[in-house]
Amino acid sequence: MNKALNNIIISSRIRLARNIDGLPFPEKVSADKAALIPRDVYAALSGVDTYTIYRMNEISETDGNVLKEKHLISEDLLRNKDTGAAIINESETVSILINEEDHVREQCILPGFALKEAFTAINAVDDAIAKKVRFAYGEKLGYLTACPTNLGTGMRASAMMFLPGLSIYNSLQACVNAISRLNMTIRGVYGEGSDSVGYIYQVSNQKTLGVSERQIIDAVETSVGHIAEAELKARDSLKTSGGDELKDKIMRAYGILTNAYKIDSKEFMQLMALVNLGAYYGYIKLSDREQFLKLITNAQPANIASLSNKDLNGDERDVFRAKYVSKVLSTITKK
Amino acid sequence: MLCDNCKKNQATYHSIKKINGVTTERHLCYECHLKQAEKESDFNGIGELFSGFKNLFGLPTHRNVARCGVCGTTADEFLETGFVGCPHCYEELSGVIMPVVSKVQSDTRHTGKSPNGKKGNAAAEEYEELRRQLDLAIESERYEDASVIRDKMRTLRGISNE
Ligand SMILES: [Zn+2]
Ligand SMILES: [Zn+2]
Repeated sequence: MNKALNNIIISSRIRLARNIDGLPFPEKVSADKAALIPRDVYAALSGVDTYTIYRMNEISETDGNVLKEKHLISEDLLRNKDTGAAIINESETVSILINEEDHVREQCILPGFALKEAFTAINAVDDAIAKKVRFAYGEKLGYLTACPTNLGTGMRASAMMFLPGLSIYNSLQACVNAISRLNMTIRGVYGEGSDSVGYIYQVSNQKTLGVSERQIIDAVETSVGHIAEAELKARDSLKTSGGDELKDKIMRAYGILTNAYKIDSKEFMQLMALVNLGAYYGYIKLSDREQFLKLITNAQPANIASLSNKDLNGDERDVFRAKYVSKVLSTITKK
Repeated sequence: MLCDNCKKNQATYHSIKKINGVTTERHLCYECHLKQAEKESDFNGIGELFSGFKNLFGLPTHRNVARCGVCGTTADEFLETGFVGCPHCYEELSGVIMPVVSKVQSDTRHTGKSPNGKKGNAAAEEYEELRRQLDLAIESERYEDASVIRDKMRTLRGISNE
């Protein structure tokens, strides 16, 4: 099960929403007061780890999108050109979003199924910041947030999951219904709604008030476990019913990814999903899963543009992507 | 201003309805408004959450003039956007916000971490609060609520036993 889980759960994320006591929330606060927050938070973290601060009014469009594609910042933050900032550690596991929907959003993303570890890491960051910055907090409602959906713990625990079996069998809706009773929600990570490009989905808790941090993690772990189990069953029956046709489809996808001259990001995502499934079935030998997952991020539009170090137009970018993907895949995979 | 209904508590919920040219004002305290909102939500469903839904269901639109004394956010603004303006809004506009909180969170009491890291006796406090709610529920013959509360108390005991 453990190795199988590694193929299903791409990454784990914990996010804590916090606000500075005595200030209106970002939507209502004056720009000069909001502009002071990044400095205070950055100062609180000096000595804990090496952090870099990115201000949204200084960052280039490509660099901003690179961070967004790495899930280190959000579209909302990117759009706050006045006072938005992100404070990110060297290993890019911890990022703190300043002046997004709340003053401070602390998040930790770790590869694989590691919600507890991610919580331990972000909890330490939260304590370090709380030593220097007073957060808005009430005994009854806990951490006070701009939207009541985040009250209490301010915590969102989520797992990014690769779910080709359930998607192909159209069983995701049933899963959504089953976990909505556990106060969980599921959404596509790439593209819209339940039709996620590349079969990648995010499962997270909805309820943040009246539950402890540990209860939230337990509930998300339980839900993720149920979904993973259903996904494994779906993959088994997909293999049985798909037979040679399925294997042929997977190997053709592998052939295109390692030989194409030009590829856009959507086709890349679709074919990568098939290759990933091929690795699970053992049709393709994968020597480095971490590099494989990194490739998914690196081949996104802004990351590819940044890696090329040149100003490329759309077609040139697709040519560069094909070359890059083929090179990386050839070193980490084997038939 | 005192509550129109119980005439005991301070009114925190204010609404002005205009129907056929007749203006009706309503000023309620948090508890009375909560009761009212509960009654109305039985048929409004989730529509109460955001005023956009009110128009959808053809319900009478009423302007809610309550305003946070600290940041100036109005109850209507909250109902339209789903966002509050500042930490004080939760108290200043509690009559409007708390029904939404209990609906979206199905809870109104924090049990997790606090900024100073100390959890204190939060669990014991919550347990007492649940016991109080349980008595109330049984008294008013809300047996389904009572069983939900009992489950919560069981969970709490399980956690403090560890
Ligand atoms: Zn009253
Ligand atoms: Zn306010």
